[in-house]
Amino acid sequence: MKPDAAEDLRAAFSARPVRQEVNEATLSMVWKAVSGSTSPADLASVLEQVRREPAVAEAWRVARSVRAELDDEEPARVERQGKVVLGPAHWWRGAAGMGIGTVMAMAAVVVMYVVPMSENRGPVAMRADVLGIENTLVYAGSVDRDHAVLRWTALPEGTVYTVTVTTDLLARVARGGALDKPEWVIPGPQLSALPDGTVLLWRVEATLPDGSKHRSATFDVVLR
Amino acid sequence: MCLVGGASPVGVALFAAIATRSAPELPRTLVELQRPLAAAVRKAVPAWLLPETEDLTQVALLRLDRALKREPDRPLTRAYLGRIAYTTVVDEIRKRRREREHVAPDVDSAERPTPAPGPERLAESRDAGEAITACLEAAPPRARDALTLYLLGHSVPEISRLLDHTRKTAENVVYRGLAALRGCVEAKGYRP
Repeated sequence: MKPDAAEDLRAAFSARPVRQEVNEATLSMVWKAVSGSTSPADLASVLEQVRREPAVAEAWRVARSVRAELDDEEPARVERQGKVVLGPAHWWRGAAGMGIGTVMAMAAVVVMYVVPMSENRGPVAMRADVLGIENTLVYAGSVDRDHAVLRWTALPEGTVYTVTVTTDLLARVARGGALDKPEWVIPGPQLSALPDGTVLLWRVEATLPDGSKHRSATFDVVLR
Repeated sequence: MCLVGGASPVGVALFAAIATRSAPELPRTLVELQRPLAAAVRKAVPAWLLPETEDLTQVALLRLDRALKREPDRPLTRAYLGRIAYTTVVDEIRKRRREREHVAPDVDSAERPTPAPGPERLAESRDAGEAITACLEAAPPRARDALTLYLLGHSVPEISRLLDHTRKTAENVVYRGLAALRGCVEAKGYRP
């Protein structure tokens, strides 16, 4: 029998229902085992868990896919660059010693809006651009908890916006929907439990008059 | 006027975390990190999660950011990026499964086309899956591990590397083991 003739066995093996989720220690062991960095005894132990618990098998498959992707790439460590490019959070740290008036004045000058979409780019390209252009990281702002305004670039008349705000741990903070203006004030009560200095992440989804949806990149702002 | 909705991409914190490391350790630009991370996530997600690839890449970037804050001196390797992608995707799968368990079936679902295989076929596959597990447990240890790896999607060369067998040995173990496994499963009344 050729191994290729056993896809049905593979499919049936992967169709086993999950009984118990994988814990973090097992996830870690699976990754090491797939990477070939465990002892034979540990590998045998992980494979035993794979047979016993389908969730471990599932984790293994994910890890294997990732490793396959990595192995397709050059195996060497990613090259490091000597060039120092200071990001906006670094600026913010530098600004921490300044008076709040100075900081706010700086913020007023360099406030940066959501990158508008160009006509020939869809939302995927938009996000990729934002993430990929390092020089766009020019500003880390703050919002006043008493009037936390988020603003972004206006899209064509009739566009409806939805804004989602989370903490940097991705816990939902607030959501504003059906907005017809490119700004939104985060309701104060939603922020009351968050301490000063909390990093908020926010993202805008715009529904254009033609029904197409476009997402911004995710932005961050510090709650003061 | 109360300014401010300052806007900067989520990668800013990540970028800053990298930028504040000592100069010789300073790594690449964001785009260099984002590309392999996105590729790893894309490769790892099951088909039903493919539409979420972009979001998952962003989550993975955030995790990387937090990890770098915790361990600023950790060397950044592709393997480490891969591990971030791996845990991100597995966590998302677990989350979706929990959500499915807590969501009652909606009325519309009956009208939606059911992706193959159908429920009966799936149940049969699951039963066959349990039969496969039982047969594997009864197999000799060497065949058991090789077959388990094969059923997980590994090729014979990969199996030989992981189990430290010669290629020929791995091939023999897998070929013969699969024939025996199929016979065992069918003897239990299942035809996967």
